[in-house]
Amino acid sequence: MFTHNGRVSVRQVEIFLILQMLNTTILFLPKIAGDYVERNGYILPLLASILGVIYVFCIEGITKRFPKDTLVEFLPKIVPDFVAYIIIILFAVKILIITSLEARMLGEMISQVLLPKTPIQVIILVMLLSVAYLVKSGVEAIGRMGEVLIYFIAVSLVLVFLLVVPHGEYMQLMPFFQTNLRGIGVGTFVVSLIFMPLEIMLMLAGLMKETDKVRRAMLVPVIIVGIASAIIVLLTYVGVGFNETQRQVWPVLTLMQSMSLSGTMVENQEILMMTGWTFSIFIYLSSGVYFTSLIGSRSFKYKRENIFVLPLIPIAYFIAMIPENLVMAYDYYNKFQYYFGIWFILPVPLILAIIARGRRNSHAK
Amino acid sequence: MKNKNDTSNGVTVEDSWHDSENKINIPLSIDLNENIKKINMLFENCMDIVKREVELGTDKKIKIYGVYTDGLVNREVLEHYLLSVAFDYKNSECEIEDYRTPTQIIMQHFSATFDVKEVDKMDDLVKAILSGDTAIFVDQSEKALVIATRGWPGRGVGEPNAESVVRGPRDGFTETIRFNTVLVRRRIRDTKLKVKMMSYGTRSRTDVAIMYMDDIAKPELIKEVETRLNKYVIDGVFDSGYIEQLIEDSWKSPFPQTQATERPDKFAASLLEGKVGIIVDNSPFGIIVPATLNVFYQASEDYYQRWQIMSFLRILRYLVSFLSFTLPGLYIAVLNFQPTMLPTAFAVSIAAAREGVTFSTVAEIIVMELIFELFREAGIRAPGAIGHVIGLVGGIVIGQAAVDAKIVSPMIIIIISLTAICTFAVPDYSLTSAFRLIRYMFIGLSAFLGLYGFLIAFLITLIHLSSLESFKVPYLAPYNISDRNGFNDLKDTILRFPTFMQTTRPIYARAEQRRRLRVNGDNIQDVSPGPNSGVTNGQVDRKSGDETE
Repeated sequence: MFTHNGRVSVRQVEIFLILQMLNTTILFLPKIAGDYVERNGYILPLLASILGVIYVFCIEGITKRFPKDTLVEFLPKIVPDFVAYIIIILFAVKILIITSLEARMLGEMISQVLLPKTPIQVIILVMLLSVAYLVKSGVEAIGRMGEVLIYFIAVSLVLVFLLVVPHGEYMQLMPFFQTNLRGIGVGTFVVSLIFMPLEIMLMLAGLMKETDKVRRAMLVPVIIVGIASAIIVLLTYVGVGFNETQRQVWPVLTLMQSMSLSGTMVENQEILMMTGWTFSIFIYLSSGVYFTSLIGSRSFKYKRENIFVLPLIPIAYFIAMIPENLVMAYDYYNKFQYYFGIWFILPVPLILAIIARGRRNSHAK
Repeated sequence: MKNKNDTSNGVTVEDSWHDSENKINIPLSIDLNENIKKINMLFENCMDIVKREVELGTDKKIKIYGVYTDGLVNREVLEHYLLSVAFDYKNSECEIEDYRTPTQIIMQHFSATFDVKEVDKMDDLVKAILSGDTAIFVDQSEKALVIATRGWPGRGVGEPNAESVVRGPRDGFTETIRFNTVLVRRRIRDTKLKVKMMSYGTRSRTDVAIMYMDDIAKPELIKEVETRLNKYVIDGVFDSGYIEQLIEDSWKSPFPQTQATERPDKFAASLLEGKVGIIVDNSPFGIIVPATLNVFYQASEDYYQRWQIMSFLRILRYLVSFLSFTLPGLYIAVLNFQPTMLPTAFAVSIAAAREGVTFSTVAEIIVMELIFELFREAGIRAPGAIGHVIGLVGGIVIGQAAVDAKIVSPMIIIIISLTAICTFAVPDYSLTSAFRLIRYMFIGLSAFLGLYGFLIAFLITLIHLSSLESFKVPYLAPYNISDRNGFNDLKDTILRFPTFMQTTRPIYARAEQRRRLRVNGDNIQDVSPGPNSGVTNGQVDRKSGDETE
């Protein structure tokens, strides 16, 4: 009636993308934005949303031509097989690396806030095994899981908002709009990489129930996350202070630590608020492992789409353990995102769409 | 002693009459003596079976052979409406010629009941005899008669023990299937309420009734229920619990995937929502499918009292059910790994209470949890009065003694007691059983990784629930498919909206039957439940309705 069709609804895709975009980057987004436009950092996510819309149209440009296909199926129809396989392999490797680095960042965060004495290897491995459990249940389960987790994340965000707004130091935002255009341009591009999870739509669009609503499924998350990110940046500046934001590695975490619910039985409430963010990362990791596995199984034409899940876990683990420490992990993560984040949300889909259009390639034909 | 029917290879003649599913595959004979011989062989050494051969009529005698099970028949029906009429019968040649077969004569004259039918299979006859009906074999006829004479001592309709209410009907299901179907029929006087009967268990031949609203339940759901019921061949079924476990989606899950209820009002209400009900003879629990997590938090009383208080109680139920499996784990995680989360005064108080206690917090929790489970089990199994004593001894005497002896700290007693009370506040027992089990996962992971472990345990539980289905309906529905019915299904979840607002049936119902409440006089075609409901202006929207689900 509702299940066992390996497909996800528009709403599930929207939530799925929102959760993925609220990944680790959000935790240091205020710092990145501040680096380019200083105290006006909150305008960058809004401007980045415009770029996000461009990414949406690029990806939709190619996926709408092959409504029921994933990248693995439609790529060989557009370019020669060997080129297609190279692109597919690069895509899978890229997803796996960024997923692994995300796992490492999560491990570092958990280690810093919750488990300073526990080896980070244990933290990462436990999370990856939990991810494997979800991924083995298939894309429907991931979609449903996202629909439940979004409630927790929404509550966390609203809580942060309500606690910071009354006590914010709004003078931190002054002076308004005194920045250079180059900073805005580059900053907008860098911040727009928070929409990198849109690349997943190259695979996910083919798994949607209503393939005619791919654009909507991407636009809604871009707009919501753009606004949410702007609010988070703004709240961090007024809650932590701009200078302090620039000093911290994860200023949003500092923001959470600065909050307190007076009169409650619980102290150190940032731990509770971090829960929402951890759920978001969990969905991000699940998505990474799932789609890497899906690329593998579809490339080798296996019926079981989760056949590569367990072999991928140790690979992801070892990649996650490559950086020697937090600083190096942070550096790797930023550089990887900076240099490779854009490829599958703008150039690749755009070029593929142009070629497909030139060759009059589409699923219908 | 060797059976007189034994053949050379050790297989009795009687054995050879049964197929692999224990059905009797022998035809009825036109010769009454032949049928008597077969019946005697089939019921050899069955002293509870009453058999008698009599001749009816005067001018033209008809030989008949009656068989029934002593104790399973209503003797009043048998003697007053069948036997006394039969023995007084005086027929004539012309009368006999008016009818085609001897069985039709019997049906016309001797059965003062509507419920009599001709049967031509020995298997059906034997099943009827063992179910309390009376079988009449007639000489020179290839058919026999089955007369409904069922009647046995049974428990009367009583108040449900597991689902009592302050306000609401007091009648509950009993062990007799026909009483139970009647209790439902009394509530839904509609020809669309269908009751399909089937027999389950090759030896027990237990009656099973599948009940549904023909125009509301989705055909694919009804078919799925029938398919699953026919999937296994089992020797005996003695409670609906057998069926429940055979038809559920995932045997690995501790969570109930069907809803068991003793309440006919709840059962009937579920049928009106498009679900399918299963009633099993000898079981006072009916089964309802599909069952999602949400329904286990719904009590019948929720709909009989005002929505404000019932919504409040719903919130409370969700909260306490969460605590019922997380509280011990949370306590361990906070106390062992994040004590800074506690206010200083509270943390000092706990530390003072723990002074002198030799065991670790984890050991304390696990030991006390197991002891509590022991008390619970002993309390249930022990006879009534002793059960209460066990509760007193366990709860007060041993608890106090354990604290005094510094085996456990007072805080642990509070945590375990609170957890137990939380467990009892959830309306459905089978759901709390699942919580009792997963509680240990929370304890283990929290002991291992503190709050991170607690979070992982929570995620694992959510993953499991997200991947779980009940008859192809996501277990977490409507929370994760809330948009499918225009968000209307959320009106009966954590909050119970006022009755007049609950205008639509849940997603289980057919799209064209979603509307369940409207203002009198309104055209049903004027109302549209929501953008994705599948119903627009009374028509099924094929693009957004069932087809896309």
